[in-house]
Amino acid sequence: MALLIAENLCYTYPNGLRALDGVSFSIEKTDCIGLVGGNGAGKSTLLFVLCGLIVPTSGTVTIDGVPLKKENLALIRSMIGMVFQNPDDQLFMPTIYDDVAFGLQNRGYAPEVIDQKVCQALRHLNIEHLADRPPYRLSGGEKRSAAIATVLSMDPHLILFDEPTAFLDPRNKRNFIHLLRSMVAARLIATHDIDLVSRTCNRILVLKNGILLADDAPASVFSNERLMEQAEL
Amino acid sequence: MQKISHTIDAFFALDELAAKRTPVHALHPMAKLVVTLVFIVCVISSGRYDIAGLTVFFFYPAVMISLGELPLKGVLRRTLPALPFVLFAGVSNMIFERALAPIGISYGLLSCVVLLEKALLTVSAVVILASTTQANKLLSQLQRLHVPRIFTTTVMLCFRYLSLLATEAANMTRAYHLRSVKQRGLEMKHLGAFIGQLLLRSIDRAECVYAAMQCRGFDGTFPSVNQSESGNGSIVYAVLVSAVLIAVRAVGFSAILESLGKLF
Repeated sequence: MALLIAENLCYTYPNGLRALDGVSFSIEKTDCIGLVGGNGAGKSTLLFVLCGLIVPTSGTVTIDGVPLKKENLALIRSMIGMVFQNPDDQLFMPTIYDDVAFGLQNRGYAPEVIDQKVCQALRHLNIEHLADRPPYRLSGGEKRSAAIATVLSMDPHLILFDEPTAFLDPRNKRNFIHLLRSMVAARLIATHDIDLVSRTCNRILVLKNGILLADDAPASVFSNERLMEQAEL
Repeated sequence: MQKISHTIDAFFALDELAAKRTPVHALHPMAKLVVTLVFIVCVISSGRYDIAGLTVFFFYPAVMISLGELPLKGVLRRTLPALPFVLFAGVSNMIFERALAPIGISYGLLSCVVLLEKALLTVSAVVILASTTQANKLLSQLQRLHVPRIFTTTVMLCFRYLSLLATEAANMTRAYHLRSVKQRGLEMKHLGAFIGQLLLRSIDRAECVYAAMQCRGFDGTFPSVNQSESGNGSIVYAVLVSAVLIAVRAVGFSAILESLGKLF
């Protein structure tokens, strides 16, 4: 059974802008999927819908058999992690350790378990040395790693990335690609970075004006010039 | 704008000091909070002309600064700004109380000095507390003392995001200056639009932060911070130091010394 099934998702912003228009797709447990499209295509809106931050105007989302509804939000959010475009949005505690522990504390884990999971996540990202540092003193790459650690520590089944390479220099981008490849969880990456998705993803979703133009393998998508032009890529 | 950034940096330097590892930092935040409150009450309740009695209390900040390895300059820099306000109140005492005290100066001057001493002691005690205890731990203890969650959560978030707000304001000012022909700083006619933009950006940022918090299970209350600080040592510290402070305040330092002298 697919990990996530989205069917006929529609979302219209209060100002009348139709951001998603009948989007349907599924994600398997080991998928790494690129979500590409020009500015305003609806990529971020789709991510926000998938993690329950905004309620779709119509359509359904099911994650691991659990329908995305208000009463299931806590459970859904324990299965889905989201890495925001700007790491400053995601790091709000006094130290990196506290930030990585935040979600685990909200879930009510015992202190020993929290400590173990936090250390594991920090180790995975090679940022154990940042544990006691305040977020505002970190570089862009370090902030990005810390933001990912906050999500990884919660062992999500699916991780959503919103423009993950936006603040990264080439070296940090390379490290990020290695990290993406080493992840076990399913990944959905919203980005303009064609290089990133071609090196990491097994499937590509192409969005334009809220409509899903294609759902195919990277080679098929990127070799289709007409589609790329149509999607403003 | 650089000045604002520096001020904000200085503000956050306090949190960096609080992350040090010294015997004072290792004490439980509640113990430090209780002792600070007892100290403040003892200092404030001292007599209005009791210079000698108050001077003894300087031992507390001196010992805490030394054991906590805090920079004296830094503590004074954060404490001294409170003094002008107190001085303003003290000066009026000098006008209304002109009678001479036995030590040869007017009661007005004496009470003014005592007021300054009290301000110096109490503010420095709070600065020492903030420099040896991280803000989230302190706020979590305030919650245990039933300070409303809405207050502690708001303070916590403001504390965290001041640096981002300052960075945002600094970026906007830089962009403004680069396109400002007269180079005379922010003009009054643009101030409204500038502040409005800053507010809108802050709201956007606040929404993003809230979304990120929701994604990690935030339900309106910050999870309580696990205190790894020593338990028994902190209790001994709180009881002992509070007892000494209360004794010094109640019977006076010299009386305590006399009694100890008789005992041994």
